[in-house]
Amino acid sequence: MRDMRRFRAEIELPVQRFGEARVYWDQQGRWVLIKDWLLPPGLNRETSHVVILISEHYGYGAPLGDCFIDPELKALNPATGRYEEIPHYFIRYPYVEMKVGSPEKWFKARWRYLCLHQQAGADMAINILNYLHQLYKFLAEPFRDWGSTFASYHRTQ
Amino acid sequence: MAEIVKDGYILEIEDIPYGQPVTGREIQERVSRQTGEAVPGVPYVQRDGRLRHLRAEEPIILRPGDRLGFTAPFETA
Repeated sequence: MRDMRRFRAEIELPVQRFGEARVYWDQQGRWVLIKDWLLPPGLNRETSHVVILISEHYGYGAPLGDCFIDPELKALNPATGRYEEIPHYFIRYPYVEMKVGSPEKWFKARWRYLCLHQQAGADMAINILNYLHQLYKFLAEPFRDWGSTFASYHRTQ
Repeated sequence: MAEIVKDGYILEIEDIPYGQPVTGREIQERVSRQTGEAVPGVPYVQRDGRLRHLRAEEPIILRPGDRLGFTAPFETA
């Protein structure tokens, strides 16, 4: 069960940031929609709508890990100089279990799933705005090998 | 000296001068030293509106107008 008091308090942050007219959410706290979210440079579009699915145990340490964005986004690959398909950006929701709707419904509504999971215990406040910050940074460099980039800071003692 | 946005404040990091090579790990260590707390995640440089994250041993020469920040780890699949 989500901590709805936490959710209702937290939703004020994106409302303040983006304005009431651009932020929508489910009364059960299952999702948040931000309209016309500004994308980083290097993509073939300047904005996208974003839906963040809110974890079932959000507010009790569960991180955020699922979002949908507009279809047909491509990113400029600096290695090739061409706009290419974004990694981890799925036409259909790729997992078996889905808590909100069905993969078919999301597909028909013209959403694409982007697989970006916050890490629990990553020493960063888990909240909707921080998730958006991470999404922005991923999309700023979508072809980066993020796993090895993060791992390069793990010292071998 | 380089600037970083941390907790909504713009800080000048004295140990990171412009015009000299500095690695991602050095940025992380020097920011941690000056702020007095470990900075989690990977440093990035915002230059001309674009973000460039740095691996631990990757050098960069910072210049005025660059803005540093950090990205907490995430997973992709």
